[in-house]
Amino acid sequence: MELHALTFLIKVRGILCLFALLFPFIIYGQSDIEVRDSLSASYVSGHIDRNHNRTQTGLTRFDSDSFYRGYAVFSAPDVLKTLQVLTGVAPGTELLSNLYVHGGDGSDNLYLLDGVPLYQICHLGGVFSAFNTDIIENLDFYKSGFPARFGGRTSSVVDIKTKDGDFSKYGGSWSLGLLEGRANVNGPIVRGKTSFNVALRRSWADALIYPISKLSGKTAAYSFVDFNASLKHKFTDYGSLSASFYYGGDNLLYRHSSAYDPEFETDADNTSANLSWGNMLASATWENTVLNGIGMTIRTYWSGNHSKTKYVHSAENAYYKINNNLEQFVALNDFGLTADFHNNIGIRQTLRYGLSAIYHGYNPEWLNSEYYEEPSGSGTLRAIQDSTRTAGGEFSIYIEDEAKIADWLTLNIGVRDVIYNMTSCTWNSFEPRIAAGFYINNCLNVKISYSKISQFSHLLSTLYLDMPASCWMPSSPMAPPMQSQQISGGIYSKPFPGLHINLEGWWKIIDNLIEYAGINTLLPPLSGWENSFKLGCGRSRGIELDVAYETQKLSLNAFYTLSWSQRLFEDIWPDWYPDRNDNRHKFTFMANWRPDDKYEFYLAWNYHSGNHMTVPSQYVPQVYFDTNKYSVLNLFEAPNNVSLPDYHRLDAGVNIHTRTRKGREAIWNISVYNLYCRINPLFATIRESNPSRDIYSIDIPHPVRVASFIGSGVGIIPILPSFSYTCKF
Amino acid sequence: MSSCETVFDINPQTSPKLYLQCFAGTGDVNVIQLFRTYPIGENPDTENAFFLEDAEIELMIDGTRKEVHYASETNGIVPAGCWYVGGTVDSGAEISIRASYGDIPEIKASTVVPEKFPPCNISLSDGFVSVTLDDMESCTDFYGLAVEGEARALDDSGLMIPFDCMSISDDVELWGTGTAREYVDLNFNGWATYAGYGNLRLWSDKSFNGQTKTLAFRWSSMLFPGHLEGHEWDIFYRVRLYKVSPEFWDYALSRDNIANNHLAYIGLAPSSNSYSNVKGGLGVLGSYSLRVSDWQELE
Repeated sequence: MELHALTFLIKVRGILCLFALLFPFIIYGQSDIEVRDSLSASYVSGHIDRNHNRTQTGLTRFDSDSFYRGYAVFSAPDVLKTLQVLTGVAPGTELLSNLYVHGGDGSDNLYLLDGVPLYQICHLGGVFSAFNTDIIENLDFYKSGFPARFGGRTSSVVDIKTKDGDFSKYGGSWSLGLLEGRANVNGPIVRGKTSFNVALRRSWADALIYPISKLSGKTAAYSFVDFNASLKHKFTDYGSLSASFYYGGDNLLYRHSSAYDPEFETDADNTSANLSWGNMLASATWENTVLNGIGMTIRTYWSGNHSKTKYVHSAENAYYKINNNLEQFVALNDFGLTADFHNNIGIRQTLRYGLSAIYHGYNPEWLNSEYYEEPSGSGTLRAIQDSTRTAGGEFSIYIEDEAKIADWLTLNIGVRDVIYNMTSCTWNSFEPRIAAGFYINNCLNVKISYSKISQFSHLLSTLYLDMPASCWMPSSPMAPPMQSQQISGGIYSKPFPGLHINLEGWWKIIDNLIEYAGINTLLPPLSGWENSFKLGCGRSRGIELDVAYETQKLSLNAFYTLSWSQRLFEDIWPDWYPDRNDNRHKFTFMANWRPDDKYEFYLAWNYHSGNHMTVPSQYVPQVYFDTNKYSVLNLFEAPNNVSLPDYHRLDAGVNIHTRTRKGREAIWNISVYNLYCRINPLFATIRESNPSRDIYSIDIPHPVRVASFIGSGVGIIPILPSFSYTCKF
Repeated sequence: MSSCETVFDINPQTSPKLYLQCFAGTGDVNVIQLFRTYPIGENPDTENAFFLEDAEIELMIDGTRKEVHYASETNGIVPAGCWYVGGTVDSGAEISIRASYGDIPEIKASTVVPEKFPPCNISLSDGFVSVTLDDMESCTDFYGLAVEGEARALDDSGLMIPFDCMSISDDVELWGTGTAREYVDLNFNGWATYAGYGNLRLWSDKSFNGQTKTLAFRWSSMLFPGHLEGHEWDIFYRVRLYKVSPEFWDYALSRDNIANNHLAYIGLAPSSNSYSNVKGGLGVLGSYSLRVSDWQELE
């Protein structure tokens, strides 16, 4: 059974990856429009807000149109692929989306869907994200300068607000792409009072994979679905009650059966695997302006994350029978109650404060068994089971004051205090947040910020892939909460209308990172899991340059990041070493051209320095005491000691805007991923060019033939065309 | 849409170091392996250039320097190309080694020989061994068990054939699911097998610190019928009881992890390091104390 289960998963994932590429690009198709400069929120519709008018560093805002005005792999816009383009974000392994923000490890991003945290935000290991862009009103992405109202994750905040249904008329859209379809309907239930918004997205990769797999005598199917529903009722102009529901899930099925062939001595082999994973959330939110200038939002929610795996394998030949059975179940449930207040004190000051109480319930378990039977009928059963059930309570309170001290100075000073309680211990985290904006003139701002954040849950993962088998566990005395401190600052300029140049830098340290330190396993250990993980820290620094030029018809964007990201795990290596995603240079260039109302052309070129991996660095003799001989032993020193080849890719496409016979807006999208077909390595194998596995005799001098290493990067993503059709009504 | 391969050179930037491997035990002779490493991609300038007859080694036991010798030829116990020191080492002894060779940076390492295996109840039967002990809570302990045998000719020839017995994996570890590693088997592990530890199973007391614990495993004899031709024999078995130092455990664990971490070699899993407690170099200086049970015949 060695490597059987995981090999099968990787093979199936490899097949599915051929059909799964998403890479939305953000473009700017409009000139600057008037900005509503409010201390609480600024939205610039039609393109990304470049953060000139806010105090925080590291904030990028997207409106709903951002995801549709640019490149989208397989013509399907995607939140994570959009964010991966930005400066300071390492994209990780191609296709397998995650966000590694300012040296983070991917488990430290807070994803909020209307204020409710989500844990599993990837479909198919990150090929798609769990957010249906049809229902996104706006998205705030924080990389630094975190306001005090956010906490719980140390690297970034992805704050997504969904659209309310239209209170006056019905509308919606539907879209058919190469691998997925989306539909959205919204409208009034009671005009002016109550509205609904429903959106569904489903893949149909199974429509292709299933018949193809059948041709080879196997059964394979994969599908994902995202379902969003919301209801909002306005009691008055100042008070409303809304309810939201989200379900997102993946299902992966694989079956294979073959009979025993005594002539060719091939085993009878039966394999069945069924994996499902996803999120579900439900929330109710009361919003009200209680007094002049004081707004209140009270929310209660449940957010559940689950993963279920069942794998059964049997093999039989003339010499033995073997049956393997692996079952795994992971459940994480959050129950939360939050109260947030904001108070506009005059036109120069806004006070925000609030508190929250969250119950976290962790319940992972797995069972692995093997029954081995000999022809005589005697058999051996080996079974192992592991489970744990823990809970934690998280209580936080915050206050945040943003004030325009002078015409040239705005301060945002806040503090957040969090108490995390478990049966065995309690932690208290006092988290100051400070940001300052210096207004030089109409074209130039300077900002600095400092933030400290703690994270009280660890993601247990034995692989660098986003596997559904990974599970969240609360901090413990042996694995204390992660904590980051980050200083950032920058210069934000608009030299002339249409041109934005932002230069930002950061320095960050992260304590109490964990790293798996055991043999290959699919499912991480649960009981006593801390014994299989090492504790360490990380540091990251860098400079980000963001240049954007926009006119009515043309939008050009360039993002460049120069960064260093390192790790120190003294039980692994006694000195700092590169993080796996330490991409020294990252550059993205995007262009969008809309010559008229019908056509919209775009292209994007992405480049980043290669990721890191570990190879042996030295060799010595390994002496055999009894035979007086020796062979050669390879030694590993610092981890991540080599870089893979650089990554680069060119994508292009066109949106064709038309009208249906009924006058409805329709959009054809035709795009090409990886236009010049560069096969970027998805992973790499390291082999010796001239293997030296001979045994040498110590007594007889013998030249040692020693190999040098060759890296072999394996990629599977060639040029990929796609199309989609979207209709709005 | 087939996979495509991109070949690229790998040149890990590193420099030669001294490599030390020594597991000092409460036996008569302790072998010190001291070699120089070669960076990957470089070949030795001369044949057998790993072996450092001209190295300077300072071995201290409880602050007293002991003379070390170089074996240019094997003497049956010490392989050629290695160093050795005679005389027993007691439990609790502090051992330190300092070594230098040419321009390669000097190395230092130290270890403390563990106390002997605590009093315990031993049960040895055909194919199974168990040892029950009371673990001390005040410290972290690492235990090891091995079964060895000896065939003694019944005639006057005086022939004796010592042999090892191999531990058999039980139901604790099945591929695909991880558990907190409670034990490490040194079976078929190159460095352990050929250094005489190949049938040893090691335990860490992290999961039973301060408790009464039964260490047990199934074993099978590695004495084959062909060895016994020509004579009649009595077969005896006994248990070797080890306490090993933390360095011994960490090194064994790291070698085991490296051998079972194939996904790390393609960059899809965290890599396993080569454990080292040698400052300025690579390798390990560990120690163990050993006592043995009485020989017994098994029914």
